[in-house]
Amino acid sequence: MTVIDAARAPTRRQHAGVGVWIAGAFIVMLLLATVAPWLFTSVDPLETDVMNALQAPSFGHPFGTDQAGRDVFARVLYGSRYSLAVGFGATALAMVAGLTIGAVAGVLHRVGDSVLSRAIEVVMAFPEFLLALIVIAVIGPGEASLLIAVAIAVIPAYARVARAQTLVVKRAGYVEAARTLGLRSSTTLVRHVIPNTLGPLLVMAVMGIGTAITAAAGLSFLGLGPKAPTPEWGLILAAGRNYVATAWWIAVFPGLVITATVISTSTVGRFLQAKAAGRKR
Amino acid sequence: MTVTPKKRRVGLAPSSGLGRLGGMLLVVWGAATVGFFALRLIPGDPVDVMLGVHANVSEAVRAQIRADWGLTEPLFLQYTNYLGRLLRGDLGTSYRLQQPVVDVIGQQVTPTIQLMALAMVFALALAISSAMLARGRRSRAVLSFLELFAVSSPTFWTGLVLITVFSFGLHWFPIAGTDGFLALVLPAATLAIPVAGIISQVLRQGLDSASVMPFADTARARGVGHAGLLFRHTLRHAAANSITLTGYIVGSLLGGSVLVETVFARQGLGRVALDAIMNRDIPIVLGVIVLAAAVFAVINLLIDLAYSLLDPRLRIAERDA
Amino acid sequence: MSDVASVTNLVSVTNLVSVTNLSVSFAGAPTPAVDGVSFCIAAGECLAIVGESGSGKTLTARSLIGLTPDTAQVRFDKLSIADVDTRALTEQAWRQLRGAIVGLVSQDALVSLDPLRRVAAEVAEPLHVHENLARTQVRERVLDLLRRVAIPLPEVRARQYPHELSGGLRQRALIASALAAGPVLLIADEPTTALDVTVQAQVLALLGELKASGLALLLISHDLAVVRNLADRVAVMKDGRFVEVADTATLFTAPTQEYTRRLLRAATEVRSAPPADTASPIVLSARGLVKSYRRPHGRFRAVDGVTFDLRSGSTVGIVGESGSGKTTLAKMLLGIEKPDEGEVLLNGEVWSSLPESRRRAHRARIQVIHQNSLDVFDPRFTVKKILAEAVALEGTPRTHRTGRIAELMEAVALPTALLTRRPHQLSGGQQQRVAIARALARRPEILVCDEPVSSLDVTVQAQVLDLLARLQRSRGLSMVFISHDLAVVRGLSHQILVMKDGVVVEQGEAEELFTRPQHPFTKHLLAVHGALSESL
Repeated sequence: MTVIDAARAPTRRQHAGVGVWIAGAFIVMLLLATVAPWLFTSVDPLETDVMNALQAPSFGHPFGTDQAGRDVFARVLYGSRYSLAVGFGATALAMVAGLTIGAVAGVLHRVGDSVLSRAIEVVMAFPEFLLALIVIAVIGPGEASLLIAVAIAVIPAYARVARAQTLVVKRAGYVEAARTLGLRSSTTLVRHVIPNTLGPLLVMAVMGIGTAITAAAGLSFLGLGPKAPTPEWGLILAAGRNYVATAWWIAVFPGLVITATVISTSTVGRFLQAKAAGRKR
Repeated sequence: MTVTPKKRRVGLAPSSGLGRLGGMLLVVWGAATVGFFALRLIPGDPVDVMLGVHANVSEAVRAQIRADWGLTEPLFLQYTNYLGRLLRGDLGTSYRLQQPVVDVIGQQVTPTIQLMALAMVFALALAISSAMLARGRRSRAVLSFLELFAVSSPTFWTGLVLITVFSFGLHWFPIAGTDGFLALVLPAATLAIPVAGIISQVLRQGLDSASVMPFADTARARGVGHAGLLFRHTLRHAAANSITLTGYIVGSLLGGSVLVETVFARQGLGRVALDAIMNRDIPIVLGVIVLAAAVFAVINLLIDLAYSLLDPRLRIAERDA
Repeated sequence: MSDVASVTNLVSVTNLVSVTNLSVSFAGAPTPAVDGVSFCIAAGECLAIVGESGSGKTLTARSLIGLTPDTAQVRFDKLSIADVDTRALTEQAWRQLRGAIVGLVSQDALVSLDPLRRVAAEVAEPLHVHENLARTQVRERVLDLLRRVAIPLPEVRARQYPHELSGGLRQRALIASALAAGPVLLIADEPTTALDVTVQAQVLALLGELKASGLALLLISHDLAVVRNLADRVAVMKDGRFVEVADTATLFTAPTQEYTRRLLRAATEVRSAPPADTASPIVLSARGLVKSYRRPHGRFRAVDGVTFDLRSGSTVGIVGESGSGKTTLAKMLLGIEKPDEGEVLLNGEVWSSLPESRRRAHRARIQVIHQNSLDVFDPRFTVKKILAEAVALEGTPRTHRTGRIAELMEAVALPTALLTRRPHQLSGGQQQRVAIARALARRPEILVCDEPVSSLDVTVQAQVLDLLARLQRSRGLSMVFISHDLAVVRGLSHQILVMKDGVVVEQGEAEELFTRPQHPFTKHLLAVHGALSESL
C-alpha cells in the first residue's frame, strides 16, 4: 500500500495571472488591428513622404519613418494582417493535417503504425526552417507559399503529438470504463476520445501560432514572401537591415512586435496547458 | 519553430546496435528519396539553371546537355543511379557552379561548424548560469521572462539589434564577414540566444522536477546546500532529461544559420543552401537534405549512447533485453 | 492528554528534542496543517506519530529539520534539538544540523536514494558535507556504516547502484547514509511501508538496535503494527493535532479517545460476511479461463484455468499478490478481454463469446469498481456529467435525471455539493464513492471490485467496505471482490479463490479456507497476515 501524505502544499492555483491577461489583451488588439487598422492610426502605410524620410520616433510617428518617409507604426499595424493570417492559417492547416496523420497512425495496427511513424521520423530529420525553404523552392515564393511552407514544416511535429496522444487516450481508463458502462463505441469516440486527443493539440497550436509567425517573417525576410512595398513584418525588417547604422527604429520596432506576439501566444498556451494538466492530478 | 522535446521512443526504436545502424540508414535513405522526388516537382528546366541568365543556345545544345546529365533517362532510373552514387559518397554535380556538390559543401561547412560550435558553447554557458541563478521567486520570474523573450525573438531581428548595439554603437565587433574570431562572436551569440532559452527552459523543468523527488529531499536532510544539490544530484537528472532536445537544437542551429549567415553576410552552409534554393540548383539542395538527415541520424545515435552513460538503470535494462 | 504528558516530560533534563506548541500553516488554507503540537524525545527513546494521510505527521517531522515547503509558515514556542535552539537558526546553520545532528530515513529507498549515484556516494554524502575527510577515510567509514546496518558484502554493494540492491538492502543503505555523520536523532518517515512483510520485520529490528545504542528515534507511520514493535510512546495525530499521547502499552490496551479506538479497530477487526443463500441461482460463472500475452521471451500465461461460480447475492473473493493475474481475470469477467480458452457465462447465457455489439445490451448487468478511480473518469467531466452519462444510458427521461443523480449520491453518502467538482478535486474515498454511484446507475446485478480500497487510508477503507456491504444487502448485489489484502477479502466474501501466477491454488468456503488452509501459499499468506495482527 502506498501512503501519500496529502498534507503537502496546496496545489498551485490555476487562475490566470496578470501576465496571461496582458498576453490575451495583446492578441486581441492585434486581431483588431488586422480587421480594422484604422482604429489605431489614420496614416496610410503606403504613403511616401521623401521629405520626412528616416525620421526618429516622435509623437507623430511613434515608430519613426522609413527610407521612403512611410510611417513605420502604420506599416507594422497593417502588416499584422499578413503575419497573423500566415500564423493562424499555417497553424490551423498543420494541426488538421497533423491530427489526421497522427490519429490514423494511432488507430492503425502495428505494421501500419510503424511505417507511418517512420515516415514522420524521416521528415522530422529536416530542421523545420530548412524544410520550409525547400517547400518554397518547389512551389515558388509568394504569400500563399509562405503559409503552405510554414504549415508543411510543422506538420510532422503535430502528427507525432497527435499519434502519441491518440495512443494514450485509446488506452485510458475512462475509455475502457465507457465500454464497461455500455456506451456505443461511436459515442465514446465523439464524447471522450476526440476531445481528449484534441486538447493537447490545441494547446500546442496556440503556442505554435507565434513560432509560425516568426518562421513566416524569417522567410519573407529572405525575400521569399510578398514583394515590397507590401507592409509585412519580415519585409519591413529586411528593409530596415540596410539602415541599422542610421535608423535603428525601422528594424527594431517590427521585431519587438513579433517578439511580443510570440511571447503572448506562448503565455496563453502555457496557461491553457497548466489548466489542462491541473485536471489530471 | 515549435518546441516539442522529444520523448524517448519506447518500442519503436530498435534496441540492438545493428538495428540502430539500420534505423540511421533508413532515415538517410528516406530523406534522400523524399527529397529526390519532391525536388523533381520544381518547375522550370534545369538547363536554364546551368546556363544562367544569358543562355541563348540552340535546342540541340540543350538536348545534348540534358543527355550528358542523365536527365533524359526514366525518372526511376535516375533515382537508382542517384542512390548508387550516394552509396559511393558522390552527391552529384552542381548545376550552377559546375562543381561536385561534395566540394561545394566541403568548402563551406567549416565556417558553419565554427558558428554552430561557438553558439552551442554560448547557449550552454547561458543556460547553466541561468539554472544556477534561479533560486528565489523573484529571480525565477525574471529569468523565466528572459528565457521566454530569448525563445520568442526572431533570430534575424536579434542579429540586427546586436549589430546596432555592438558594431555601430560600441564598435566592439565587425559588422559582417567571415574572417577571424571577432567576426564570429555576434553571429554565434545571435544563434545562441533562442537555443539558450530553450535549453534553459527544459533544464529548469528538469531541475525542478528532480528537486521535488524524494532523493533530493534525502540530500537536503543530509545538510546539502543549493549548489551541492545542483551539482551532485539534480543537474545530472536534468541533463538526462534535456539531452533529448539535442536533435532539435542542432536542427534549429542549422536552420538558423541560414538567417544568421544572411544577416551577417557570412559564408557558410546556410548561404549555400539558400542560394541553391533560390537558384533551383537541385543537386546542392539534395546534398544539403542528405547531410541534414545524416547529422540527425548520427545525433540520435549519440543521444541513445549518452542516455545509458547518464542513467545506470538503462544500462541494466539493455543488458537484460 | 497531550499537553499534560509533554509538560511532565519537559521536566526531565535528558530530553534531546523538545517541541512546544508547533504549528504549520499554509496561506489560503482554512485550518493549520499542524496545530499546536508539543512533544519531547529522550536519547534512546522512540516516539511514534501515527496518523492517516493529511494528518500532518510528516510536516511535524519536517519541521524538526527545517525542511517544510516554502509556502508553509512554521510557528512554535520552543523547538530545540540537542540543546540547539532552532529559533535563531539561519539556513546555513540548519544545514549544519541536518545530517550531523538529525538524520532522516524516508519511505522508499528506490526513490529516496539518488538512482544515478552509487550506494557508496550516497552513503558518503553526509561525510562530504559535514566532515573533511581524506578519500580513503571516507571509504573506510562507508564500509563501516554498511557493516553496521548489516549489509552483507559491503565492498560489492558500495559499488552498486540503488536499483541493483534488493528492497531490504536498499532501505538499510538509506539508514546507513542517515547515520553517516553521527546524528543523535533519527527521523524515520514510514521507513518500512514500501517493503514486504518479512523484510519489514528485519528493518524494524535494525531500528530497534539503533535505538538500544542510544539513538533517539522519531517514527512516523500510518501502520499501528509497525509502531507497536518499536515505539516507547505513541502520539495519535488527526487534523494537525495530537488526539492522544500515551505509552505504547497503554495506548494499545486502554485507548482513551474514540479516534484511536477506531484506528485500532480498523486495523484489527476481523469482519466476516453475513451468511448468503447457498442455493440461490448462479449469476456468473467462469469456465476454465485462460489468457496469455506475448512477451519478449515467449508467451506469458496471465490467467491459467480459472473456474468458479458466483451465486446471486453472494461474494466471491479473489486473493493474490500483484502479478497473479487478478486484473486480467476481472477484465475477462467484464467482457473487456476475450479469454483464449474457456468462457464466461452470465445468468447461464453466453457472455465472453458474444460479439461486442450484442454484449453492449447486457453490459448494465455487470459493472466494475477499480483501484484508482481517477483514471476511469474523463478528466474534463464533472461528477454530475459522469453520473448523467450513466443515468442517460438507463433511458431515464431528461426531467427525472437530476432526481436520479441525487438519489445515487445519497446511496453512496456523498453531498450533492460535490456534483460540480471534477474528479481530481475529490479525495480518494470520494472518488471511489462516485465510481460506485456510476456503477449503480446502471442497476447492475453483479459488481466486480478490483482492489477497490487498496489506495485508501484504513478508516476510509472501512467506510467504503461498509458501504459495499450495505449495498449488497439492500440491493441484492452479487460481487466479485479482488484484493491482495486477506483481511479485506475475508470481511466480504463467501467463497474465496487464492491465485498465484495465474493459477488458482486453493478455492472454497471463506471460513473453511481461513480456518483450515490446505495449500502452502494460502498458509503463507495467512501466517504473514497473522503475524501482523498478533502484534496488535
